[in-house]
Amino acid sequence: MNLLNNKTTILHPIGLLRQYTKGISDIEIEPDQTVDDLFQKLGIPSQIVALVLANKTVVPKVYKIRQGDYIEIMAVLGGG
Amino acid sequence: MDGYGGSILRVNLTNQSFTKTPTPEEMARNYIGGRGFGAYLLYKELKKGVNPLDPENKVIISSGPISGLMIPGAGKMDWTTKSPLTGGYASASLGGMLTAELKYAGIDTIIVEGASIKPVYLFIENNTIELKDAADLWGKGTFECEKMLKERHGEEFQIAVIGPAGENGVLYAHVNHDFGRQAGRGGVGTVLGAKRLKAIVIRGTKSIPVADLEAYKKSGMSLYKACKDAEGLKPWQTYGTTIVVSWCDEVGALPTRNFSAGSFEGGKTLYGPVMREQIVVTDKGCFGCPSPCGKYSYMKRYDTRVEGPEYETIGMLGSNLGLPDIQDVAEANRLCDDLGIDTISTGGVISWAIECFQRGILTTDDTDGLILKYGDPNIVFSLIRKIAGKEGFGALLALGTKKASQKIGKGSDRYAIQVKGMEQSAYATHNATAMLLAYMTCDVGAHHNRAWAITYDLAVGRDKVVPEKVAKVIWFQNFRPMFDVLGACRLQWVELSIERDLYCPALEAITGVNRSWKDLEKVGARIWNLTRLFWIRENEGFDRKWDMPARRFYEDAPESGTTKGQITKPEDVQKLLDMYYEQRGWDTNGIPKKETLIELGLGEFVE
Repeated sequence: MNLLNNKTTILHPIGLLRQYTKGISDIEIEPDQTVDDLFQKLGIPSQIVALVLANKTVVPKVYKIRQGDYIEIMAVLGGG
Repeated sequence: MDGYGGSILRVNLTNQSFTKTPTPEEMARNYIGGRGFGAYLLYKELKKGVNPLDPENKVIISSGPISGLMIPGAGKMDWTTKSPLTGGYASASLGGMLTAELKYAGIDTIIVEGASIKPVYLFIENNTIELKDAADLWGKGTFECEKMLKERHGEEFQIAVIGPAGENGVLYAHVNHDFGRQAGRGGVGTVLGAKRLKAIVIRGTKSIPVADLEAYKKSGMSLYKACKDAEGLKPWQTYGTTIVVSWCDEVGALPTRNFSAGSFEGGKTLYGPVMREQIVVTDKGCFGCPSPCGKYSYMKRYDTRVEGPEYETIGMLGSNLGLPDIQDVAEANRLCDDLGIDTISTGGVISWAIECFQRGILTTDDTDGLILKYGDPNIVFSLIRKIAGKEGFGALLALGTKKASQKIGKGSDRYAIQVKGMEQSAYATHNATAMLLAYMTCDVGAHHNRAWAITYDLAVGRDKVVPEKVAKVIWFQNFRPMFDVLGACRLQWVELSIERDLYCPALEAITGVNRSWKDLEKVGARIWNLTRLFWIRENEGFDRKWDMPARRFYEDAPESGTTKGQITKPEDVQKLLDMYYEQRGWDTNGIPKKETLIELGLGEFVE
């Protein structure tokens, strides 16, 4: 969960998506933007992200990030 | 031999006889186990040109050196035969508990040959091997049959059964195990049905020798720790393979109405979180699994239960048939499992029939009066029952899309979404050239699991046709099926990002043979080329036409969804094949060159 404080908004990329945050597992992000907007800013190809969680709940990529959210993202890996 | 059960059991159903011979060390060295044993034994032992449903065909059931040991995912085994659906090589992977029990009985491989006059089942308890009368089991659904055998022999026995579809000769009948795991593709259950072998019941209590016990414990624990620490574990365990439904819908890969599109307007109600909330009761894993992807579901509307549906089934029986309700899809899944048919081929066959009906190629005169349309669960249930029983219109659909379209003609082959006679699994490939090539060249027909390359398409550019993309597909094909050779599940590596090099010390500790992934990939290439030789030997005139995809993917651009208007160029399809053959060391017709075979250690098969 949010490791800094409950007002900080955090992005937590899982696994290979960390290459887009220079290997950092928790980065502070701005609220009041959609997940897709965030991907665009960070250069994360939206099409390789399979799952977005906001505070442990699955949300769509059009979800508008709120202050204090803990956003986790996971890529599609290798399939069945 | 360290890591192995130690013997090959040959069951001749014609003579009702058994022979047991030591597992050959040379075969273990060159083909390792599982799928490798299956491919080698099939090519060596099967007489050229055997009809898949004749007694001369064989079913080869093999565990691998990792099967049954304390290694994550060690619950896999391979079922190989000459496919009645495709006429070529069939290899179906089965998860669950059976592979462990087989090895504990001291057996690596069962070769089933001949055919019994009356229905029987194979009973194995360590050194006791018998064929028992199956008259009371014949005609039963897979769930009831497995339950009867558990009650008869005990909960500790592991059981694989065929359903009525296998008995009736539906060409894509499967083998069901543990009430919800299948050796699903290519008609393995059909061949067993033709042999009148209803079930296999196994219990073993022997030890498996390992070369270095301490190193085995250490390397096994390293793998378990990596799984436990994986950040993806929680979401993977929560959703299993359904994690990709929403993603496929988003990127245009979700098969929709006979693959006419890759996004489904009703898709959202099929997504993993919806399924989890609405029908999933609990998780279910295979032997030794730290990340159970199986989901056990209860469908309130039908008051029924099923293990599933997994992604492939949601795609093929859901969006592909225009069904947006997860309970309907799960019920269709249950019917297929119980009656004994592959959900992927079944979904492909039904969607083909609906499209043919809508285009006027089929009429109510052909369909027993049924008005075929997308989005009607009752039509789907009815067709599944008709297929399994080969009743009326179901007898045509029981042939699979390739043979059914050849039978009715009228241009219906255009709507058969298949390669080499096998219905394409659940990834729409209108504009995903690596995944398209993976389907075109897969060694069993249009199946996804050898080279799941669709994310690579998205990462490097979906319509790009470059040598690097082709090389990636070949690398996948050599590497990923090695898990089926080792008798392990690939999903820990795939979905939890477990470092694949962690498997090498475990394999060495178990077998005493040091192998790097480079060594293993060479074995993978050897097996790949051997299965290609099988296709060539068994099919007169086999050439590059056999590798062509369904025309839909280079002629009919989707009219809706993410991939609307997108299509692979016909010339790019040929270019993909040219590059693939060159990189494989095959000629322009897709025939392996002599030097390629010799380099891969297949000199004995050079003619």
